[in-house]
Amino acid sequence: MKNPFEYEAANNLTTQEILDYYIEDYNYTRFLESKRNIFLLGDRGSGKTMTLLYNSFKIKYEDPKRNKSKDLFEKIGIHIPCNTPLFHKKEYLLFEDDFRVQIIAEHYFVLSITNAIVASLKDVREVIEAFKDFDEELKEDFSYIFNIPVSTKHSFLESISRWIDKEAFETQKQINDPKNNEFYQNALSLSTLVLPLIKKIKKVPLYKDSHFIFLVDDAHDLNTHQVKVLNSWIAYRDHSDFSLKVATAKVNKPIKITSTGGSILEGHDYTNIDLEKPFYNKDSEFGNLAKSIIKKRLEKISNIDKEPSHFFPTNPELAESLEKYKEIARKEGIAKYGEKEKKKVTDHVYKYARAYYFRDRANSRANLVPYSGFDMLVDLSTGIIRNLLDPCYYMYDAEVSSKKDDTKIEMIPPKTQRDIIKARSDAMWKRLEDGLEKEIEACTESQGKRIYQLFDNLVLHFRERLIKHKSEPRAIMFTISQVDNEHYSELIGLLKIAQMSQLLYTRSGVAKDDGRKEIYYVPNRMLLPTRGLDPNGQHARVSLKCNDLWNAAVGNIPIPFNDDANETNAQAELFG
Amino acid sequence: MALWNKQPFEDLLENKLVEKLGPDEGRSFFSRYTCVRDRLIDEVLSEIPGSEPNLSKHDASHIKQLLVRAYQLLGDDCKKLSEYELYTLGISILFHDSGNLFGRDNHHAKDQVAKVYNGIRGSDPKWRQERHVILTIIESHTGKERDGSASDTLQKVELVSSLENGEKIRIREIASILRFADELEEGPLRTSFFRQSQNSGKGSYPESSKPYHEYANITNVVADRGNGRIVIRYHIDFDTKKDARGVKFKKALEFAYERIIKLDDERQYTKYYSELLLPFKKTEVSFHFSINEIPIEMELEPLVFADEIPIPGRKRKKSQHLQIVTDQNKNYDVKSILKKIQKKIK
Repeated sequence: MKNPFEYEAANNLTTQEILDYYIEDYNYTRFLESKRNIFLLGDRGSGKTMTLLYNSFKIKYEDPKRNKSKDLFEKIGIHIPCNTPLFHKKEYLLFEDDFRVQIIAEHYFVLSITNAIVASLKDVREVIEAFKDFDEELKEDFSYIFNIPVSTKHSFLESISRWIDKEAFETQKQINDPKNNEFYQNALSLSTLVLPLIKKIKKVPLYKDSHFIFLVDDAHDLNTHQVKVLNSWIAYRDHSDFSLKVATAKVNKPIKITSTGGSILEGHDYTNIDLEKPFYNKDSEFGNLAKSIIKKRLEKISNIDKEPSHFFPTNPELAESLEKYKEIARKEGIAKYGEKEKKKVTDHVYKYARAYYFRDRANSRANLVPYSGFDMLVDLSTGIIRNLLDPCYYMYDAEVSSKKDDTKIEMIPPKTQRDIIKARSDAMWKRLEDGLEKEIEACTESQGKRIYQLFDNLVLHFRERLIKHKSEPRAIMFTISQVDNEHYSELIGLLKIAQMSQLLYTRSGVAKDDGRKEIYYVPNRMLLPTRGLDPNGQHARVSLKCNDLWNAAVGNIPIPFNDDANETNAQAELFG
Repeated sequence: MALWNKQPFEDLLENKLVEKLGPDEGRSFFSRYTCVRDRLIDEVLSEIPGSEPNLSKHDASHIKQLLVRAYQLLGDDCKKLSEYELYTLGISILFHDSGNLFGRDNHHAKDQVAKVYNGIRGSDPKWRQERHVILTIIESHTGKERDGSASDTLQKVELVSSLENGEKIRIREIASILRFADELEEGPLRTSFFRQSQNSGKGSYPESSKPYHEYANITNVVADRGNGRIVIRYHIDFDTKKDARGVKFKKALEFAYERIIKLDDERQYTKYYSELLLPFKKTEVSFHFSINEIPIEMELEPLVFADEIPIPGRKRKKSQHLQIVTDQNKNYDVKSILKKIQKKIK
């Protein structure tokens, strides 16, 4: 029985699986199909690769819904993964001269792009047909420009593919040759290989109006020289024939400097799209997306036609208790503001009902909160698709293992949900306790210890707020204040490692005091169940002093609690 | 003195002077600059709003921005200016708008600026050569003669001069840099949004100044030397309540077109006289529109104005600006943009 929540990196999925699982968001598609350059930002697991692949020509061509559209050959998406051996070549380290390094970086980059163009097109029936009449002419042109013999046995595209393999080999051989002090003279660039190739391809009538969209995936894996090359192409003004859509993680986001020392400018050279902040359309908020993903997976893989909230029901005791506390908070609100002040009363219920429930549970040493329900799973995901699927996968697996027959899994009982959530939360804490140096190369043992202590104290702080804070008891995000501190950069270093481990995420929002944009930090909400906290946080952020966070990390000193802390109402970007 | 953080330009100037003259003499020479700066900021620039209340800001913030801009314009090539050339550029930046104290008309004229210069430096004859150099540079920072007519003012600046020590200074180069840096210095920092929001009465700007202040609000300019370009980004809002028919919006757009061409003319003109400005081969412009402050997508490709054959003193007619922009890209036709936005509003 296939687990519908299995999470595979998008690169490992078949075309059909991509078509089955992907939930199209018109707003992203519109940008991805435009001629402008786009940076697609999102943490690991937020669906960047899936989005790029879905918009690639290869997948579009196999999609019966889209392959009839007239623009199939007008917008040709070429998926270019940056974590391939060609990108990771280290030959450039042999050069001391920056200029030469850039040239070699661009050389390998354009070989990869050309390879990707050819790989995307060469097996498509219409393309083979369309090229037939032009094959000889193109081969002759190509042979003349690059001064290479082109095989008569193979098609134009196939010949290029073979030549790229040979060229990569030749480059490596020559650069690595210790006897050869000369620079590699055949180095290619965007303007000497990719653009002429596109021009040649556009000779074929099927492509005469084509715009090539280079879908550069995992750009955070590029080295600085490759990033500069990429940026130079982004700053290139003529985008009639090609544009770049670059997906990158937020941590280690590429710099914005070009190889000539210039800059690329947001809003002019490129547009940022934050995959975790569905800003462009109210309907595309993460909650709806999560619902669609789960529903589609249940239908397509397990043939279950059920709403996610029915498949993951909430524990009746939890639902009942929450209702009871809502009523308590409502009465309190009415007593405070009067029955006519409906909005104020509603706000009061929103702020305090859940807080009272979790507070009482924390005080009474009762059993673990029966964490369950689809909404709870969405909250626990912290806005990341991979985090949403992870506990679902284990829950489904636990149900399959406990069954004695082959009958369908119709729902995940609340008890299983609670047990798995607790186990996944415990596992996350275990990773922290064991030390992140075991999984992140750039992390030292001492940093690993500090990160654990920092998170431990953060969660203790959130718990203290839950119990004592008067106005924002459920705040579980924070900003850093008083950053002119000698330890600020070291603290940010720790937070970056936590981000790389997906234990922490960043969002940007408007600061309360001066309206400027500020970064705020959201710990992975899966950390909260072990400590009895509510993953459904309040739209508020706690302002924590840099020094207090540093003391917590280094000295394991509790973060001071202040009931008047300067909180900021978040702009409801995550689940709003 | 008003609060002032030392600017990277000033660090570079001090370091170069120290390198050339040694620590004591170098710092002493640098203090010639800081003395002028502190007195000008406290006693002259802060008083300009009293005599010209409707001008865009010419206070310490403008000087600071201009120092940043000059540094940004030259990039690493800043080091190609000698210590005395950097010093001259710095002093010219400090004095360049001081003539406004006696009124906007002819604020660049030698006699106007000389009054401020003499007031600050005193009557010691040792300053006469410096004064001559500085006044010559400042007089060419606008393209106007005393009678208001347009003229090729940079051409009249000597190619080379010197301070009192006889060291060679390329003053036409410096005059070109000052002029272009000043041309680029537009943006919300140069106006008061509060005064703009006053519809009428004492606190508001007069009608004749309003377009300039509104223009400052919508403009963002970047000198991207590495990519050889000046980038202008405009952010124009369509306010459906205050400007339902789009009259103000249309004016803002047309004014922006006019300024784009002026800026691009200045780019080509100043680089004709300046080796250090040669890398700026084009002006790129993008427009970002919003309706009641909510960004909208208009799918307009950025405009690109690349080098033509430079014609010193050439001024294109005002009426040509709209045509030049739409010749670049017909989608920039003001009426059709307005139509598209009104369609989106509906």
